Amino acid sequence: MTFPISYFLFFCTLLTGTSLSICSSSWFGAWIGLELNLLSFIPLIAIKLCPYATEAAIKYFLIQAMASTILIMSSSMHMFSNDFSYILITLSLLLKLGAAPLHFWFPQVIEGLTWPQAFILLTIQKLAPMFLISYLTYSSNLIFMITLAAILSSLIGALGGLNIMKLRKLMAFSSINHMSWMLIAMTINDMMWLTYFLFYSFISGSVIILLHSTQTYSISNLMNQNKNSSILNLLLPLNLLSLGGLPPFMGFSPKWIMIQLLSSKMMIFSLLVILFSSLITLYFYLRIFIPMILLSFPSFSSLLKIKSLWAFSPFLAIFTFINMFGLCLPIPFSI
Amino acid sequence: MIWKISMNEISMLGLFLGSLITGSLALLKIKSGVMDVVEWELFSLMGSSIVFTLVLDWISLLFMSFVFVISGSVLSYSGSYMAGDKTFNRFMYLVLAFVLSMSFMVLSPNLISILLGWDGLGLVSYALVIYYQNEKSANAGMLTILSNRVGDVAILLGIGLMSSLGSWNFLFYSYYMDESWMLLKIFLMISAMTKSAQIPFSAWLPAAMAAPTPVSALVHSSTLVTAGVYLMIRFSAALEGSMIQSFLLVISCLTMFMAGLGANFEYDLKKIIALSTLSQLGVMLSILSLGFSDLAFFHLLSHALFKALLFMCAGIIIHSVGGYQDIRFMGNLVKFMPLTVSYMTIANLALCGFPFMAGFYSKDMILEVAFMSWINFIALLLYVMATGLTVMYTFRLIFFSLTGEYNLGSLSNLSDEDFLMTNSMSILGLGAILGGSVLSWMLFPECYMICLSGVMKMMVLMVSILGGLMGYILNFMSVNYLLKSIYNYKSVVMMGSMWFMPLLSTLKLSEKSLNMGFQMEKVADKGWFEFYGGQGLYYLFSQVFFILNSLQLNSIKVFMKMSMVMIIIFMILSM
Repeated sequence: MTFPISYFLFFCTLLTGTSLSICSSSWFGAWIGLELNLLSFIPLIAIKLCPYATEAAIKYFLIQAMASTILIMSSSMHMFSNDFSYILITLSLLLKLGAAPLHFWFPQVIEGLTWPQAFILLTIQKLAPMFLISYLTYSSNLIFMITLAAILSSLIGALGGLNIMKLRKLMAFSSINHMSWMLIAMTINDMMWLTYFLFYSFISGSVIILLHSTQTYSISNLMNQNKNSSILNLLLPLNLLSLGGLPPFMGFSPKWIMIQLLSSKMMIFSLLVILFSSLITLYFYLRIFIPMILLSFPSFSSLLKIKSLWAFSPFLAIFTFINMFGLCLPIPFSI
Repeated sequence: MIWKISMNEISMLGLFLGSLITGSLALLKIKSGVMDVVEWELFSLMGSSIVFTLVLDWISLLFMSFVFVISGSVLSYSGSYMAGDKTFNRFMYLVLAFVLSMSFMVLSPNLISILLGWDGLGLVSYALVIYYQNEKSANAGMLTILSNRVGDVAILLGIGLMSSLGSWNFLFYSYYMDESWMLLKIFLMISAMTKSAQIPFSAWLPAAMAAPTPVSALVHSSTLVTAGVYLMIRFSAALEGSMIQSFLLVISCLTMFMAGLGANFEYDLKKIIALSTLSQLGVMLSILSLGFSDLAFFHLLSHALFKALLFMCAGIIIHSVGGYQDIRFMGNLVKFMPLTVSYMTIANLALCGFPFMAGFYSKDMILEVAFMSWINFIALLLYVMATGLTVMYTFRLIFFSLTGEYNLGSLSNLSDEDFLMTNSMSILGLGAILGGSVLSWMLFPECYMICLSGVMKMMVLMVSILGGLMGYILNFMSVNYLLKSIYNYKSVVMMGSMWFMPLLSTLKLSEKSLNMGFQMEKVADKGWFEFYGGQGLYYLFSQVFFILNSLQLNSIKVFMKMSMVMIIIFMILSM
């Protein structure tokens, strides 16, 4: 994979912006970090001069700029109305995040990106707003709002992705669904959401590497491709099931932790909603690969194809391995 | 060079050798009164150790010796009985597997390790019942295995209960179990009742006669069915003075009576013997529930000898009359096969408790001890009647098959000259004559003191003679006799069908659930659940999806406006 050197520069400033906003002690500093982050992500999107990427960049810019405006405005309102400004800050951050009632831009933007950019949008771009929201969980009002956003994003993430045929959009909705777990975790414990986030970025990374290596953007692409790589038939279902949080895979472990946490805190209602909607997401993950498996030929050409796929991405092997055995991770510590 | 390996001879030699070894060890143990316990700890879990126990005392060794001698005879016998069978070797392996699981069951009275033998018995006996592949065998096998499964589950539940003790050696813990362990006692009693076919679970034993006759001789008369009695003997210390005793007494007396009554209406040779086994099992369990477990064990051993012999004789008869099992098709066999018929008569007389035969020592003692102890009137009545009925069906059997008219087909090949079969019966024949006295001298160096009034002392004899006479005379038939059983059709059907137990435990048990399942599938699985479950939810979700998707089909301007609206709504909500 080749990319211009400016890509590297903008990536560094993107990370700088994120860390700046996480580490800043004032809302102004946080805003600067977010702006830096935004302005360095735009060139990353528009690095190829095709109309889709440009459109996505513009949309992303408009929405994020609006959110930033609200953020800086409400943080300056802080002087006369404490409550009001914090609620508004939280909402602007939720808008930046793409959490549920403010999620409309998110699938649209991701539709114009390539897979690596989509990965950045799904993981790194979430980090700064998430951290900032996690600083805001001190009053019951804000916690209520975050919980509401979490429940809504779980429902919309699950139901919105139900009949989608485009894989990037599907990943966007799955990300909205996963975000609900993180938001709920945020209201309980600062550590938990970060753990969930790490697991999520890891698993979605493994799925995205696979999809990127085959340049797949829709389900029909996937079905046409199956003839020549039966290793994909094996790996994609495993990684997708892990993303869906099916028990033997790693994706279950953060969910497991969350289920225990929520039930010990007696947050049964939100747990129920989130769990049910995760079940629905499992449906659309299954829908991606079931036709692929059923329509594949029982040929044993896997030995030939492994090499090419492996050579393309050495990460894939590591990621898939960890996906498979990640649930065993706590065992050495528990003995 | 091709070796001609005859599995039956080899197994017989091995088993007789084993019997000799275990028998002599048992004698040593009786003399020294020592019990050897070997415990192999598999693993320890939260302070409870899972062990495989081997208990070598005179009870287990003597029982093993008897199992080996009977199975040795039966295997040698089946060399001729099953000759020409297509899967003769499979049959042999199955019987050997049965012997193996029987030894596991006998040697390890630990609630976990007994499961190995206990489940093995159930499984192998199922495989043997369905040995002949026809529908009747399949049904009988299913009834057998499912009835036994109830007992297995009871043992599993008992394991769960005993885990609080930290060990499952019920042999030792049974001495310390008071009334608070009632549930465990009930579970073990249920498992013993299923294996020994006591009343609610009796239906499987006559049904299991679909197995080949050597199997009936070994499995369903002398060894497997006594596993329940053996379990109760090992557990008898816990039964002392508990409610279980009186319950078990009533159940076993009823079984004894029911089986004796049923045998008088039965025409299937093997089923008659099966019912008599059932009746004797009732005798064993009843004396056990009166607190005399050693007498129960004594009867268990002597009964095993003559009952196996009886079945083997029945097998020869069935074999020679051409596969008929109906005793109305036999008759006057004494002229054609004198040796077999002599063995059969010996076994029959031993069963009735004819003086100085094997059954006399155990059964007569059991009856007198029972009459002496504190039993209620009903139990006494059942004892007396069951004793009479035993003699009655025995003499009825003798009348129909051994004496009387020749009723066979015009083409028949009756003879005694299958020496493989007749020879293998000789040890058991000796056992049926001498077994009782030898055992009683061995096991009871001190006599039981029997103190009864004259009437009670003579009661058993009187009832037996009466029963014998009735059994013989009632079956004389002549052309102009009235068919009394037609007039009392309902009661005859009830008594002849083991009080409807086969019907109750098969058709009536599954009818309801099958009907429910059918209705459930029609109404729920293919009806409401589908409408409101899978399809309904999918429809609902799709509707929501279309709304959400139509929201997505807008320009960015609209998105920004929507976001603003959402923010305002949220502000209002949280204010």
